[in-house]
Formats: sequence, structure tokens, C-alpha cells
Amino acid sequence: MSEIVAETIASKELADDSISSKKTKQDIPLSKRVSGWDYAWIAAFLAPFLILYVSFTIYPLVATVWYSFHEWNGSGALDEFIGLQNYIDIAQDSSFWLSFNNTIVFAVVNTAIKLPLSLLAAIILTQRWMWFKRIWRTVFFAPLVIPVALAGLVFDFLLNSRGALNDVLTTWGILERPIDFLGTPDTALITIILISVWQIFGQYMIYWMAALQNVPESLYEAASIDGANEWDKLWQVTLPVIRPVATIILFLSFVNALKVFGLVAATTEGGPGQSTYVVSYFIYNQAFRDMPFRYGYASAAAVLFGVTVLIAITLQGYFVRRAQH
Amino acid sequence: MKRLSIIFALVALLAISLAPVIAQEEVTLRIMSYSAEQQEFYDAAVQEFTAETGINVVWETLSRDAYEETLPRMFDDGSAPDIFFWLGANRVLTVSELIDAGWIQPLDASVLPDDWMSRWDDGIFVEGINIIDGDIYSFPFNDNKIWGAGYMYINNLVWADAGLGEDDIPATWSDLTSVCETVRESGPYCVAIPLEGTHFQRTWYPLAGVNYTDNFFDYQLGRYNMDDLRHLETFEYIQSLYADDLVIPGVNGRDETRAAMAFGEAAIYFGGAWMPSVFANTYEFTDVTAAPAPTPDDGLSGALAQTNSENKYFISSTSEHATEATQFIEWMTRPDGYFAQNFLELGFGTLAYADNGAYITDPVMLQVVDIAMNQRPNMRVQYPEPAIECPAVASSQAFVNAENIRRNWEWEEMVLALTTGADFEPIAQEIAAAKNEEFLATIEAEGISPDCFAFPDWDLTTNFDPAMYSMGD
Repeated sequence: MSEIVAETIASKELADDSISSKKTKQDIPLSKRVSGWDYAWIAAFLAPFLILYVSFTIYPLVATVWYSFHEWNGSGALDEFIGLQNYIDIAQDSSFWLSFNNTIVFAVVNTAIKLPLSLLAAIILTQRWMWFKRIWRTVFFAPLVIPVALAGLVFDFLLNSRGALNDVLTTWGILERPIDFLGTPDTALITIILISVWQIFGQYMIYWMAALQNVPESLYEAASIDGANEWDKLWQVTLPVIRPVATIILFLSFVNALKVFGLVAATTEGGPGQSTYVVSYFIYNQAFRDMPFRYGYASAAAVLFGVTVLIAITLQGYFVRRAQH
Repeated sequence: MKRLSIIFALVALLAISLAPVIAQEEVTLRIMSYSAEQQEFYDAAVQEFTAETGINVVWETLSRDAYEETLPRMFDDGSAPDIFFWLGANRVLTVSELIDAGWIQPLDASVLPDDWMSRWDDGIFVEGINIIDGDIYSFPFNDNKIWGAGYMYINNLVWADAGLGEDDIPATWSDLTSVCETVRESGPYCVAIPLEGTHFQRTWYPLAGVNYTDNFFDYQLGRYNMDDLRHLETFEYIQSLYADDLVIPGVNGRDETRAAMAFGEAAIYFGGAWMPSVFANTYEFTDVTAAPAPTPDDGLSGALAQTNSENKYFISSTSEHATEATQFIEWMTRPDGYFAQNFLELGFGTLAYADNGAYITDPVMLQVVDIAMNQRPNMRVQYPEPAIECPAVASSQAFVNAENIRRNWEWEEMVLALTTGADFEPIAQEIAAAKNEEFLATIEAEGISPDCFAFPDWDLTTNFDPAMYSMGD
């Protein structure tokens, strides 16, 4: 069976190669393809995007790097240049590294739980025999439209030591004493991770469903003729074919999880102690919350963290290319 | 008729075109603060001011969190109000901080009466604190004797349901534990303590302030003091309340714990002088008794810090109406004026420039005043101000650098120890050692003597006598 499937995949790749081997527009130099007024039109159509991109992406990015070399509280003149001092201080700041560590743990565990679960749900919801598909999709997708602050509030009430979950667990004798899931250092971070998974699960399920729907039906038919069962089809057809998309989904999930902020702000404010401190919350506290504001210092933390995200994105490109081959 | 219509149309056009010019001449002051529950009062107050002076005023309020996030952004984009309310990181040196930030400008002294400063007690206006280079930048708003942390509030209904009466109000920590056990046996928890963020301070200040000081810096010895045995003793006592299941469990926010007390889930909440107003206006709850915080079993051995820290209203540097803003401040600070009378009558707090006893009518607020003025007059004592001892301290970064080792370090670690039951002493020693090291290194680099921060002849429980300043002697 696997030979037939492999042949089918190989013939598809061959067809793709033959298409790409034809001479495309990209092979003709720009100066020969475009002339005169075309340049004006290109500039006119690109201008709105470029203006927005420079204003809202490039400028803030450059400004953040510039601020990071200053002792600055976010207001007044930016006149106290201190070079790399903020970076040196950050490197020695245990709170930053703790928050960095928590953020990585959050992103890894969140991704490790979220992706397999959402893939499983997507596989089940793309089966022909599944009933009420639309209802299920809506059910799984609904948490995504709930604002993070509201989700935080709801779970705060649900999971605190006097909340509904503790009521049930203590009434049934599962717990002797209630546990404040968000207020206990050992459980707070994993609780936030699970709330985050609950909220974002539907979005990744949709990604997986889109990937699954792109697997050619002919591959499944060929596999069936070859006597493959559903499990074989999953391992031998579905997963290999969606591997490039899966890599993108994996990195998207990881990079998005690195940016966790709202749930922490809405549920634990980084506590108890610093057990749920994450980088975004650290930056927010330094820049906007704890007086006196340290905008320059927060900018340095943001730049350092941005480099981490950039590395993750670069790795994504590398792994996607590898998966495609 | 046709000609008349044309003339009428021209006059109308002229009136319309001139209207903005005329309107531009009218000044509208914008004031911003938090305490949204007081909005109705502010609206009435500004109407009164407008009726008297013809100057329009709009007073906007936000919730505290929203306000503290919004105001700095308003300074960034140039939309700051003319007058704003602000609590600085270092409450005594807020004016210096805000001048450094470029947020404020001085009051226009030309429209202030000559005796304006006499509305406050002597010694309130101090160069380096609210006067810089001879210009007045702010004024103490709330009084600093009554106003502040340090009170114990009891839900009378929960108290009565537990079979407790007025005579059972705990005077000592042992009494508190004992009545708490009684309350707990009747069902509700005894104490509601907020642990989220830095809100643990609401319970810490009253209990630390009766044993030693509410400060994490000892101004007698000139050092950070988290490792002091008296602080550790206070912490252990609070930890024992948790261990005995007498406190609402979990990490709860400020509003959750206030609501828990107001709605009968707990009997006691420790809070500031503002709580009668908060209970009444936010929770419509008035069946409450205010009492002094229980002392250690061997009696009162500490005091809360009374500092020149109530400079809270400022004229923003971006305001083009400093004169009108100063007029408003002058009107607002009239000891027998509309603002003072109604602010006090409505129980919103106490004022530094008015006779608080004369206008307060709220019975719980009157109890608060009685506690601070009569029952426990040394509950809050006047603290020395290092910036007066050594003017260079006003620009020192020593406290800032020590705090920057880790913001909110004490609070975070105390909360952690309360939620885990861990021994706090080792971390307390680590905090004190790290902060003292950074503090001493900074002042050494700045050329400031450690003696500027130490007042060994003062005992922390009595008012600091200004004669004790050596002023470089």
C-alpha cells in the first residue's frame, strides 16, 4: 500500500517540478517587464502599504532599539544616552530571566497540548461519518471570540478556592481542601496554559481542517485500494502530505504563544510571587505600571525578546523548506 | 422684504462665523483624577466654581488602573488635562519626579491670596518637596494624620451572627486570633486579605505599623529592614492566620476581598481611611465599624509613617491656563468653601486644609477620625525627611536603584510565602542585604553620606522633632 501512495506522491511532485521548470515571469529582468508609467503605477499601488508599514512597523521597531540605549521614563526629552547599560542590567535581572523562562515553558507546553488536540479534533470533524459538524466547529471556535479579559474573569471565578470547580471537587471528596488553581505557585502557570489552550483551540482546529482538506482524495482512494485502514491512512498519507503546513502551524503556534500577556494580566498579574511572570508582562510593568517608569529598560527587554521571536521565525522558514523537500 | 431677508442672512452668517472666535475666548479647564464613585460630587463642584468665576471646568474620572495607564499616554500625545491627580512612586518626592518627567508647571502665585499657605499647618510647604526654587508646585490635599492606611473594619452583621459584640473588638493579636476562631466556627471566614499584585500592603501596613513601622526602610538606622525581627514577627502572625484557616483562601484581588467583607463572606477587612466611602458608594454597605488595628500582645510598639506625601494635584506642563487652574486650586482649598464642606460631608476623606471634625457626618468616618485623633494619637507619627537633612537626597537615585533590583520584591515574596506556608526569614534577609548593598553603593557614588538617611536619636514611635535635623552639623 505504501508503495502506491509513495508513487502517487512522487508523480504529483514530478508534475509540480515540470510546471516550475517552465520559464516564468520571474526569470525576465524587471527592467524588461516594466517601463515608463508602469513604475508610477507600481509606486502608487505600493505607497499606501509602504507608508503604513514604515509608520507602524519599521518606525516603532527602530524607535524601540533607539530607546533601549537611553535612560528614559517614556515622557520628556530623550537625552540620557547610556549605550548598552540597559542590556547589561537586563542580563543581570533575575526577574527578566525568570519571565523569559516562564514564557518559553508557556509556549512549549501550550503548543505541545494545543496542536495534537486540535489536530485530533480536526481529523474527527473532517470525517464523513461525523454528525453535526457545523455545531461542533462553532462550539470549539466560540471561546476565541470571548475577550481575553472576560475569559480571565470567568476562570478566575471558576477556579479560585471558593469557585465552582473547587465546590464540585470538595463535595465529591476528590479534594480535601480547595485549591486556588490560579493562586498556587505550582498550579498557576499550567492553569493559565490550559485556559489559553481552551481559548485558542478552535483557531488551530480550523488551520488543521484547512490543511486536511488539501490532501487529495485520490491518495486516500489509492490507499484504500491498497488495503489501508484509517490509522494507516493517517500515518502514511495525511501526516506526510500536511507536513509542510504542519511546520508552519507549529511555529505560528509557538510564536503566538510567546506573546502571552492578556491572560496573565487578567488572572494572576504575574503572581503568586513571580510564578506566572512572562516577558510581555515584565515589559508592561517596567514601562507602564511600576513607578518610576523605565521605558528605555523595557525597550531593551523588548528588543532582546524580539530577537528570540525572530530566531523562532527564522527557524520556521528553515524547517518549512526542509519539510517541503 | 427681500432686502431685509438678505441683511438678516448676512447678520446670521456673521454671527456664525464669529461664534468660534467668541467661544475660543472662553476657558474650559480639564481636570482628571480617579475615584469614579465621586464623579457626581465633582460635577456639582465644578458647576459651583463656574457659577462663581465664569470659568468652565470639566472634571473627568476613570478607574484607578485605567487612569494610571492613560495619563502618561496623554502626556505623550499632548492631550493631558490642565489639572491632574497623581501619586508618585516616592510620595514625598513626587514633585521632583514629575518635574523630571516634564509633566508639571508651578501654580500662578499672582492669583493666590497672600495668606494662602496659612490654610495648612506650619512646615507643610517645604523647598524640595512641594516648593522648587521658590515656586509652589502642589499642596497637601488629604491630611496626613487621619488619611492613610491602618484601620480595621468589621462587618457588624457577621460579627453579630458569630455572637460577638462591641466588647469583643480585638485589641491584641491574640484577641484577633481568638475572635477569628469564633467567627470561623459560625461559618464565614474571619479576615479578607488581598494578595494580588501589591495589595497585600492593605493588611500589612496596619499590622506592621503597630509592631514596628509600615516602611521597608528604617529611618532610625538608615537601612532596608525586611529582615528586622519585628517585621518577621508581624509576617509570622499573618501567616498563622492563614495556617489556622481564618483568612479567605487564595490569591484574591483588592475588589474581591472588599466585596467578600461587604457581602458577609468575611468579618474583617484592613484598609485605609477611604474605606467608609468605598463601602458605602461601591457596595452600598454601611453596617460597618472602624477600629484601631490590634497590637502585639505586649502593646503598641510601632507607628505608621506620617510624611509630607499628600501633594497630589498638579497643573500640567502642557496647560495654557495655569492662571485659571490656580484659581480653581485656590477655590478648591478654601477651608470653609463648597468643595471642602461637601467633600467632608460626603465622607470622601479628610482634608489637609480644613477642619475635618466640623463637616464629617458619616458615622464610620467619624470613628476613623476619632481613632487617629483620640483613641490612638500616635498611630501615625511624623517621619524625618532625608531631603531636608541633606538637600542632595532630592536628586539621589539610591532608593530607585534599590527598588529596581526587583520591583515589588517584598510583596511578591510575602505573597509567595503566604500561599506556600514557606519560611520567610531567609528570603527577607536576602532582600534586605541586596537592597542595602545597592543603596549604599549608589549613595557612595553620589557622594551622599549614609547619615543623611539615619536619625538615631528618634525612636520611630513619636513625632520627629525638626530640631533633630543636624543640617550637616
